[in-house]
Amino acid sequence: MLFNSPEYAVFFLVVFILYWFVFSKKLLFQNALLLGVSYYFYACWDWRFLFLLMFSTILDYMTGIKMEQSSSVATKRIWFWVSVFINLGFLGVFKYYNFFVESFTQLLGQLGWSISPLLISVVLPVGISFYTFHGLSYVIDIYKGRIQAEHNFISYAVFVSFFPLLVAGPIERATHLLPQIKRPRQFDYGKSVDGLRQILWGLFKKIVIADNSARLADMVFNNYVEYSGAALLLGAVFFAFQIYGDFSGYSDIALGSARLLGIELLQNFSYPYFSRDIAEFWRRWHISLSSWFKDYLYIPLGGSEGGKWMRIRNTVIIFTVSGFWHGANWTFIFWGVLNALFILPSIISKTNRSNLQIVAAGRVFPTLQEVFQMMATFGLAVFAWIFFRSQTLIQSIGYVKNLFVGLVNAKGYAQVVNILYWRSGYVVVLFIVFMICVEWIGREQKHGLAKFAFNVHKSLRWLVYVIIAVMILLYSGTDQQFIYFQF
Amino acid sequence: MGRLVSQTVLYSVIVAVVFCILVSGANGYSDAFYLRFTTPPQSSMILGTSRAAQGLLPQVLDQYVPTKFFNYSFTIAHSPYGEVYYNSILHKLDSRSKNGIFIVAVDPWSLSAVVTRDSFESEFPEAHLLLANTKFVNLNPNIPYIIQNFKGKYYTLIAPQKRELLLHDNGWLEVSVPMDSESVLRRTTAKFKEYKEENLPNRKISATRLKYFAKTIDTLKKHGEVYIVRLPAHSKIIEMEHQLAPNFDSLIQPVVAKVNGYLDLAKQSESYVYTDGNHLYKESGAKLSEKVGQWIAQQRSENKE
Repeated sequence: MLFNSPEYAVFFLVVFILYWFVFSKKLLFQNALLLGVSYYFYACWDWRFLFLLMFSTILDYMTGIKMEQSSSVATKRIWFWVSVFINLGFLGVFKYYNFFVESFTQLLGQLGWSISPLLISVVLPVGISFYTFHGLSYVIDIYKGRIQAEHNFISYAVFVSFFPLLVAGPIERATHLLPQIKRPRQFDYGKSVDGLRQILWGLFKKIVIADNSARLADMVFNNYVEYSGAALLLGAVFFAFQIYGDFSGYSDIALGSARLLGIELLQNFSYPYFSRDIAEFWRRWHISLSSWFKDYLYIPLGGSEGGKWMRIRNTVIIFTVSGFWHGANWTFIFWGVLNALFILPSIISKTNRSNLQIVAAGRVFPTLQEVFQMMATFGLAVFAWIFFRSQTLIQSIGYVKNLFVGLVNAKGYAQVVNILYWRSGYVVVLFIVFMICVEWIGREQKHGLAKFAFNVHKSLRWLVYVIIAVMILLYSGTDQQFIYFQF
Repeated sequence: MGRLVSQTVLYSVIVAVVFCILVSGANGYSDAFYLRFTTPPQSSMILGTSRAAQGLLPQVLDQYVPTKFFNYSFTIAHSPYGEVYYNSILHKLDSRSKNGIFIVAVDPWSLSAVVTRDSFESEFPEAHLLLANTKFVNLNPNIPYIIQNFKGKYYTLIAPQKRELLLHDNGWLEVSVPMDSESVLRRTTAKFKEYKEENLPNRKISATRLKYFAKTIDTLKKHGEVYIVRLPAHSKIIEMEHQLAPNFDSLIQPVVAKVNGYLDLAKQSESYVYTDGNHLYKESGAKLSEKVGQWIAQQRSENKE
C-alpha cells in the first residue's frame, strides 16, 4: 500500500475515523488501534515478514526490560550485545549476505581460487533498515542509561511499528516518540490542517516532481552511452530532483499523516538544496539518519573531540557506513566516501558549522555570494548522485567520463533540446521551478506549504491548494514505488 | 473536528469537480476505448472485435441506412462473444428502442476460446479485462472507467502523447500507421506469425461462445433488425480460419436463420487493403462500409416488398 495510492487514502480515512471517533475514549484503545492498523499496513506489503517485525519488536522489548532488571553490568552487557547481534544479524543476512559472499568470491577469484558460494534468494523485507535502527536506538539508549525500559508492550510496539514511519522512516528515537505515544492525545484543528497541507505538498513532490523527473532521469541513465556532456548533466540534475521529491515527499506524507493522528515525527528534510556547503547539506538531508549516525556512531567513536586524524577517520567511517546502509553495492559505498571527501575540508578547518541557520533568514532574496555557494553545493550533490543512481561503479565512471568529455560537444546540447522540447522536459522544469519557489518562500517553516500564501486572501490560498491537488490527480495514474522503500 | 471535516469535504468536492471538468476534455486520442463509454445508450450498434472496430465506419453506413450507428466493437481479447460482452452490450443498449439496426461482425476467432493444459471454457480471459470491470458505460466523464482501467497518467487524457489511434465519437477507431510496403510487410509477417503460432494451435470453437452469440442475437432482435457480417482479412488468415472452423457456416447457421441477413465477405480478401493482414486500412474500411450499407439497404427494401 503506497502512500500515493487510493488504497492508502481509504485506509487512512478509516483509521482517522476510528481513531478520533470510536477509540478516542481511552489511550490504550487508540494505541491498540494504531498497532493493529500498522501491522495490517505492513502485512499489505508482505505478510510473511510481519513475523520478522514482531520478533524484532519482542526481542528489543524484552532486552530493554532485562537490561533494566540486570543487577550486574556484565549481564546488562550480554543482553545488550545479544540484541545488537540479532538485530544486525537479520539486517546482515537479508541485506548484505549476498554482497559479502559475492565480493569475497570475486576476491578469491582474482587470487586464483574458485569457489561456488551459497547465495540466498530472498526479497529484502520492506523497512527492515528503518525498524532495525528504531530498535537499536532504543536498546542503546537504555544501555547508556539515557532512558528507562518501556514496560507497556503496546506502547513500545507502536513506537517501532507506527505505520507512517514503518517502511521508510523518519528513524525515530524513543526519547522523542515514546512519550507522545504514552500521552493522551487531543484533536487539534490547526495541527490537523497543517498535516493535510504537508500531505498535499508531499504528494505534489512525489507524483508531480519525482515521478516526472524519474522518466527523464531513467531515459538518460539507462542509455548513458548514447548521451553526452550537457545531456548527461541534465539527466543527473533530473535525478537530483527525483530523489529529493521522492524521499522528502514521502517524509512529508508520513509527517502529515502522523500529525493528523496527534503525533509529531522528527523532521527529515529541511530544504537541503538551499545549503551553502556540504556540511549544511547533510544537516538538512535525511536528518533522522544523519543524526542517528552522529549520535550512535560518530560520537561513540570520539566525534570531533580528538585530533585532526580522529576527526578525519570518524567522518570517513560514518559516511562510508551511511553509504553502505543505503544498499549492498559499491556504488553506495563510493557515494558515501565521496561525500566524506567533500565534507572533510570543512571538518579539518572546523568551518563545518558555519552555516547553521537557513540561508537568507529574514530576507526575501539571497546575496550573490549565497547564490554561488548554493549552486556549488548543489553541483557537488548532483555529482555524487551519479554514483548513487548508477547500477555499477563502471557505469558511474563511464557516465562521469562522458559527461566531462562531452561538455564541449555540440551533440550534448542538441540532446538537451531534444529532452526538454520533444520529451516534454520543459514541463518538468516548470514544475521544478514552481517547487523551488514555494520551498524558498517557506524555507523558514517545517514544510513548504506551512505558511504559504498566508498573507493573501483565503480564497486565493485555496485556489493554490486546488491547483496543486488537481496537478497531483492529473499526474497520477500508475503508482510509482518510493526509492527509499528498497533500503 | 466538524470544521476540519466540512472544509476537507468542500475542498475535495471542488478538486473533484475541477478534475472532472478537465477530464471531460478527453478526446479520441486519449484512449482507444474511453469515448465508447461516455455516450448515452445506443439504439443502433456495430458489434464485434477489432476488425469491426476499425473496418466498419458508422459515418459511411449512416449514408445508406436511416439510423445513427455506434461502433461498440473492441478487440479479440476484450469482446469475443461471451457473458462479458453480452452484459456490456445490455448496458449500452437503449432498452426502450424497438427500431434499431445492428450489424454483428463474426468470425471463427470471436467464437473460439483458448485451450490451456488444464482446462477449456472453464475461464475466459476477458472476465479480468476492462469490459468486465466497466459497469457504467454511459457516463461522461466516466470517472469509474478512468480510475479502474485507464493506463498511464491522467493528464494524457487531455494532452495525449500518441497520434496513431483516433477513436471517433461514433465509436470508429481510426488507425493511422505508415502504409509503405516495407512497414505493411513487417506488420503482416508479425501478425501471421502470431496467428499461426499462438492463436491457431491454442484455440478451438467454444460452445459457450456460440451460446452467447445466439443469446446476443436473440436480445438484439427484440430491439430491431439484425444483420450478421463476416469481415474480410488477408487470405492467409482466412485460410487459418478455415483450419480453425472448417464448418463455420453450418456452425452459425441456426443463428443466421433468425436474423435479417448474413453477408460473408471472407472470400473477397483481395479486394481490400490491410494494415497488418487482419485489420482493414481506413480507406478500405470506408469502401467495405459502403458495400455493407448498400447491402443492408437492399435487404431492407427486399424485406419490405
